[in-house]
Amino acid sequence: MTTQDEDFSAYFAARAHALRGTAYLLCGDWHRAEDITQVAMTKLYLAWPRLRDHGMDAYARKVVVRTFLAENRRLWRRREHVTGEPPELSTVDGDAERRLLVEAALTAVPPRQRAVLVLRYWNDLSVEEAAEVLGCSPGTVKSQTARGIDALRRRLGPHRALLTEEGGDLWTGRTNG
Amino acid sequence: MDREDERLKSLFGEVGGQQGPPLGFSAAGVARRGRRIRLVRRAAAAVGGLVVLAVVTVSVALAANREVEPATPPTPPLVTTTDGPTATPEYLTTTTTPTTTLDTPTATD
Repeated sequence: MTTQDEDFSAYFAARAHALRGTAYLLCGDWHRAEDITQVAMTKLYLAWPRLRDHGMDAYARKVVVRTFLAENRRLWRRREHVTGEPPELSTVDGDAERRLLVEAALTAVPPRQRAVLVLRYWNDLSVEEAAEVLGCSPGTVKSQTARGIDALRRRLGPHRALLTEEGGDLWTGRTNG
Repeated sequence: MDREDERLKSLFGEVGGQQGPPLGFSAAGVARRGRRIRLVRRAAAAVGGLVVLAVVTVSVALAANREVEPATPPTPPLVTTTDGPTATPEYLTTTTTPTTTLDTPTATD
């Protein structure tokens, strides 16, 4: 095993799950998330010699987001079927229910807006960093973020209070009480 | 807005941080695939280089062996006329050569 392979294995062990988490938030499907992560990891391996010790996370994130967006542009991969209402979830515990509600709401947000939300609120990137990943202007990121949150709020419907601290507390109180 | 941002981060953290099913691929598998892709790319680059070299060689050979057409003679300069006196070419002037006649001796001498 070469030094590059050893370094790559160490990076893989440390970051593969987080990267798949990003992919899962984007597509809402574990299998597809795994495909996207595998593509990203392979591209990362190929680019490893020139990336050296820096920029690996940013590169991998960029590949994940762009692969997701490219796949979405292909009509045959559009397999999301948005239902009219959030799912009825009465048999699962509060945390899982909240998680599933957010997941369902997220799949209803248009892909590019979803990518902006994931980069901003999951990867914790600044507006400028998100713009760099998506290859657009910071202004576009800001507008897409606002629209994405609006779409998420609309989609959550009666559960939109989840997006506020008070709503989260209420939810916890309701499910625990 | 900041509180909403924090809440969103927390919600996204819950969804993205899920354990999920075990990963279906490994670092070794990715490295193997990566090496194969690298090999294919190198082979393609080598073949591409050879093709370019062949095309350039053939082009140069064709250019070198092309028949050269004989050069056309230069066209004579145009004759121009001017209003001023023209010098008569030397070959057109006539010269008169003086002739001497010798008297033939007579018998009376």
